Amino acid sequence: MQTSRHIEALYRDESRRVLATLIRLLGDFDLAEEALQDAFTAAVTQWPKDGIPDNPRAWLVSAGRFKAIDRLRRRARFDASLEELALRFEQATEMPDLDLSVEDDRLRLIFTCCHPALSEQARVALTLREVCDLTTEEIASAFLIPVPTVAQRIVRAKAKIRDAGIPYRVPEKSELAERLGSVLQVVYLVFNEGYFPSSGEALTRTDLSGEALRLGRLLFSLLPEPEAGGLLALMLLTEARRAARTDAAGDPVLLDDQDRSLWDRTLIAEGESLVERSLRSRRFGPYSLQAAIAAVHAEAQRPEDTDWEQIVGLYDVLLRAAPSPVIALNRAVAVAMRDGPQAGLALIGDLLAEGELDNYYLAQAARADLCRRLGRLEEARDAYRAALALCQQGVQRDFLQKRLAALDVERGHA
Amino acid sequence: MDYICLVYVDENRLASLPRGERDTLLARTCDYRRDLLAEQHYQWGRWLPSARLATTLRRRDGGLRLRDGAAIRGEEQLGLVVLLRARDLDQALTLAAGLPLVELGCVEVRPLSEQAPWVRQGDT
Amino acid sequence: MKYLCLVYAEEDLLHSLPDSPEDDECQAYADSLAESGRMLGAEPLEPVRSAVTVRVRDGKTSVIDGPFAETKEQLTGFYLVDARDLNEAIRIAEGIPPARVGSIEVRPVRELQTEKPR
Repeated sequence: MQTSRHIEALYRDESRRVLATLIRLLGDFDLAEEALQDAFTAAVTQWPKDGIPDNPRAWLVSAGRFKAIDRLRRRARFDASLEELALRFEQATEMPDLDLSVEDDRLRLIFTCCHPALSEQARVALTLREVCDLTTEEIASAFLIPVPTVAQRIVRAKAKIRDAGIPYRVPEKSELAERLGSVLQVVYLVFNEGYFPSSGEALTRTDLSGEALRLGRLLFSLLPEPEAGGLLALMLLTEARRAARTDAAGDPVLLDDQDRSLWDRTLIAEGESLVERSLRSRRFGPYSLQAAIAAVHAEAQRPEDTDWEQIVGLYDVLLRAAPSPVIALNRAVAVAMRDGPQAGLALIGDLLAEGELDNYYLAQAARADLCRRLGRLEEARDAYRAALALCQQGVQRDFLQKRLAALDVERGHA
Repeated sequence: MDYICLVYVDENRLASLPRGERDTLLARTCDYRRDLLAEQHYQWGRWLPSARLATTLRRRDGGLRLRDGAAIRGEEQLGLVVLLRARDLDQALTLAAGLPLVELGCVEVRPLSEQAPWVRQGDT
Repeated sequence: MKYLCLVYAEEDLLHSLPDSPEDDECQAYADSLAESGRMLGAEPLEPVRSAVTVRVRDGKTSVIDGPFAETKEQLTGFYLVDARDLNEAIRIAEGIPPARVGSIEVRPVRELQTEKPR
């Protein structure tokens, strides 16, 4: 039927917006979700007869609100306090201009789901559920955790929002940068989990990365802040390499060995443009800088064309903006490319001596590679073994095993 | 003298109580409070719901760091805070031990600082 | 909503770190909060060495000298505040001077008279 297909499309395109507005009007996630379902049910029943309304979204919000009031009235027979709530919603006369406020509502929803008073796990689960409309099962399977665990995280997150008084609001200008950081962290976590999962057999989980990209685009469209643009750029530039990242057997291919003709130049162009815009603003931060580094890589037609000088320079700035041992490690690898393996090895040695990267397998893998390049094969073997001891991801382990085996071949020919 | 009574309980244990037992606990606490109030021991008190509703913050290097949850993680969490006035520590301990919630955990009693309060609570 | 801001710090270090609050800073902050009408009460606590803990089991009372548990940071005081929502409570808690060297826990609270303990 024409109408039912229209409603399906409407659900796909508009349900998140309607939900965001209902959450604001009703002040409760669960109530709003029920209202959303009720509204679409009503649409399926009434629109074939009455025709599709001029402003479907407004119709759905209005219907949802009335259905919610009905529900509360019915429940008030068992719990008197709900009657007061129903009355309050009913009396809220002003239906605000939907077109102006709806993007505000979506931002409110994102910022609330990513509130720093919630644990990181709670933020991720709640955002994927409420903003991205993933089911509990989809979230559980994406992160390889049990469904009840995800369900409980979401229930508890909603309870904390309600009972601890987390407001449904976009942060004040003075707090925006800091609170945005919390949102970006969630998006990036989801993207990384999809692109570089911590465990399991498949190397990439396309669905999560796609969600993160959609979320990043939405966020940037609602809030064109430099770091939001920076994160989107970083994700685009990383995603651009997807086709080249694994070979036919599904094994990982290092950046140096990738077939650059498989890189998606459209995504790269979009990413580069966002990076430029962000850096020009001067209010850029770590995501923009990481994106800039990715852009320098993307510019190189061949690995030997890579401007390592620029990359090291960007890492210097990044290290000042967001000091971390992992970034220091990446900088060391870049220094090795610019100045030779010995220089990089010295830096990595310092980091390991400080005990910063004890559990990080990539530090050992980097060390192994540099030792190999210097012909120090025994040390390279030790380092690959150390890396294997620390690595859980199936495909990455296979990769390390292969590199280790290749060393033996080299040694055999030495 | 004034004493602060910090009642710690295992939240999970509290949550797994049947509804009837929890309601009884509440009722007994209200009754106890009323008795303490009549004898002018009770100054004020507050229930602290689940530590899951807590948020802990620290300011370091000029920045604010927020974390979900209570400041102290452990098997027992703060569930009730009551300010009592007593003749001496012994009496304070006896009165504090009578709080029904203590049966599920323990109560730490401390004298209030000899300094004046920053601001004395107005309500009970 | 009413929130309790619990002030935790390492007692031994609370007054000896470079960022430690001055003696009158806490009083000054409490006063300013009181003026804003959001302060319901605030108390500094005696150190844990003056604490005594009581457990009651099967009608038997056992008394232990000391706090309920040995912890890295100890409760040194608290503020009871009235705030519009958690964001405002956090802003209030942020300004409590020991936040620079310790931790402030912010929790919604309920009165004893009418509410359930849940």
